[in-house]
Amino acid sequence: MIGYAIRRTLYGLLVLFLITTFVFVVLRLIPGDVVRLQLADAPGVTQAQVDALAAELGLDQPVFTQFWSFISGAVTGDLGTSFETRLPVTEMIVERLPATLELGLLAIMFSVVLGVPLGIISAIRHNSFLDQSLRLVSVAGISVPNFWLALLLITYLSIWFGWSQPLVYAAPWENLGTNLAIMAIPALALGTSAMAAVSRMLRSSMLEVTQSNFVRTVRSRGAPERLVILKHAGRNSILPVFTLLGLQFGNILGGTVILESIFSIPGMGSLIFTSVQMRDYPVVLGCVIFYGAVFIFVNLLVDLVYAVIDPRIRYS
Amino acid sequence: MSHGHIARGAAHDLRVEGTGVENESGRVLLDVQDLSVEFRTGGGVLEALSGVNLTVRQGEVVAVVGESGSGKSVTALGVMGLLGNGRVSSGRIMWDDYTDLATARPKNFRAIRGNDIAMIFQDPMTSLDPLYTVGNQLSEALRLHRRMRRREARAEAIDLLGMVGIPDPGSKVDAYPHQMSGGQRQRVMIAIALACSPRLLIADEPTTALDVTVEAQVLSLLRDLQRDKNVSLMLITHDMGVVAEMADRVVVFYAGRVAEQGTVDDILQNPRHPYTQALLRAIPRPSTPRDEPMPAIAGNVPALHEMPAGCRFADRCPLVHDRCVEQPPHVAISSEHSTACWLATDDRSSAVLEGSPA
Repeated sequence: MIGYAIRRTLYGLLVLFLITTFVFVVLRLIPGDVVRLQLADAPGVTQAQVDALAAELGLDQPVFTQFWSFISGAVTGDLGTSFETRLPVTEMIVERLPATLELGLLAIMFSVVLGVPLGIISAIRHNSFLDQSLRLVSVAGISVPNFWLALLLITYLSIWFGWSQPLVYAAPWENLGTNLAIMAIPALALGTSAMAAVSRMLRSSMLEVTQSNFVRTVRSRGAPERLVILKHAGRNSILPVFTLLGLQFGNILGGTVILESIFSIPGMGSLIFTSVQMRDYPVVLGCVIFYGAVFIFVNLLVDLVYAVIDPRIRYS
Repeated sequence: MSHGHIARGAAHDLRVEGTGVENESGRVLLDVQDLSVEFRTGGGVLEALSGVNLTVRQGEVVAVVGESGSGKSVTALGVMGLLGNGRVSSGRIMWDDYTDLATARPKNFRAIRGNDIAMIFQDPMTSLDPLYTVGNQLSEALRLHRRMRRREARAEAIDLLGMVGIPDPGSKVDAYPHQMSGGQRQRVMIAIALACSPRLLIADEPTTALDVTVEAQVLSLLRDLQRDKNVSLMLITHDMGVVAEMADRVVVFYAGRVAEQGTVDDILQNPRHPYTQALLRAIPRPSTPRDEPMPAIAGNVPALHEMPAGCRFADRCPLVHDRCVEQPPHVAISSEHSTACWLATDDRSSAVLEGSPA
């Protein structure tokens, strides 16, 4: 079990290194010079000023040197300095992290709390009218873009119920009520497609498991259906759902970029959004790597959960 | 399709045998009467079992034999109420004279299933939940039916594992199915089935998935436990050697019907149905010449959706004659022995019965 965890962690670190390299290279390959963009508005810029700024930003060094200095900083937790604010990127991320984590976790919670029961109901009553309706809702949930759903929610909640969100963001430790009122709609919009995907995945995997021989054995013991579904079929069919959740977490992280911007939530998503507009590449790089790290961590967690649930993985 | 057409005298004989009144062979535990089972599929309703009669008495081993798809397993699953998308379309499954399992409420059925009637399945590799220890799965039956506490059930589970010959049961109780061999898993399945001391054990080809040496061990374990605990055994098999060794009585299935049933001596020494006779001829013996093809029954079992109205074996029967276009009655040869073949009727020469449903 411990060996398994170590192996998984090492894989995760390798993937993170590959992501970092990839993003670093891609950012350098984007046409356009950051220095010239930053100085573009000022008339009469001299080459000396350009060189000075380039030197200040470390852009006069060969790419490999830049990469090496970034990596050696990154392993100590230093992700460089923002071109725009001149603040350490790590500091900016740490400040923005809680809002994004909260949003992501709320979205995941929503998708699990609703998606799991819906999937079970669909599987138990498969091909019934209820199941058909739920499947229709699922397909719609997967297909609808989350930002559009969020806008619909804002609009119709205010038209039908006269309810609108608080305008000013508050962290959960400042004012939990305000915070949740702001977070509810983007979390709902973000979690909808994951919820739909979870219920569909659970439906099909549970249908498969309930046809299996060992479920018949459990029934032959005289076990009530509740025990059959929740203890045996449930645990056996939840594994693919965890894999799915790990992957969906990536979509949710991606979705935070737009949704945080729409809802003015001061998280990493909106930071990426403004940094891209400002061409603040160190911040974009830092945030993307951080998202990558979170994604890898979540999927590492999924792998470990797998081992907890399935002894065949634990003992191999 | 008519499945209730039974020659009157023969039907009467069989009924007397099936009512469970005092009988030297013990009281009737399971009495399947005129059972038909159908499955709804995309292509319509298929009848997998048509008018099956069979009984299992206290302490008796009844072997159910027949080809794949002949209805052996469907009968067993029907008794267990585990037909899935199939349903009992007619007939009764009388348990211990008072409960009709075909119409029992789920709650009442659950109290019998796993407690009075238990079943072990064909494939031990997939019949245990891979995510729980064998002890957990063993305890489940005990906790359900015996309302045992966790610790109590665990101790009992260890005893049961010892009883079925698992070495070091105290540590094996915490093993997961994937850590055991096929033979051990089937022993665990037997332990689970016997956990609540059932009165009837249904074993559906319990050794098909095992290799030959293990097969012999598992069968002798089954026989020993059956004798020790005086539990009735309904043994589904297609191995006539196993039948000869273990069975008191034999029920031969063909294409969803009972072709012949009787004591093991009746069936093996004096088979009256051409199908049973062909089945016995098909057993390879040491004397069977090796350079000749193995004896086999020509043709195939008719598919469920194209069952002939008359005798279902007619197409493959070497003794087929005019009357076989009609469904044969169950003819009593003796109080135990009956066969569904026109050849066994006394009035063999008489013309085709008029007015009988086809």
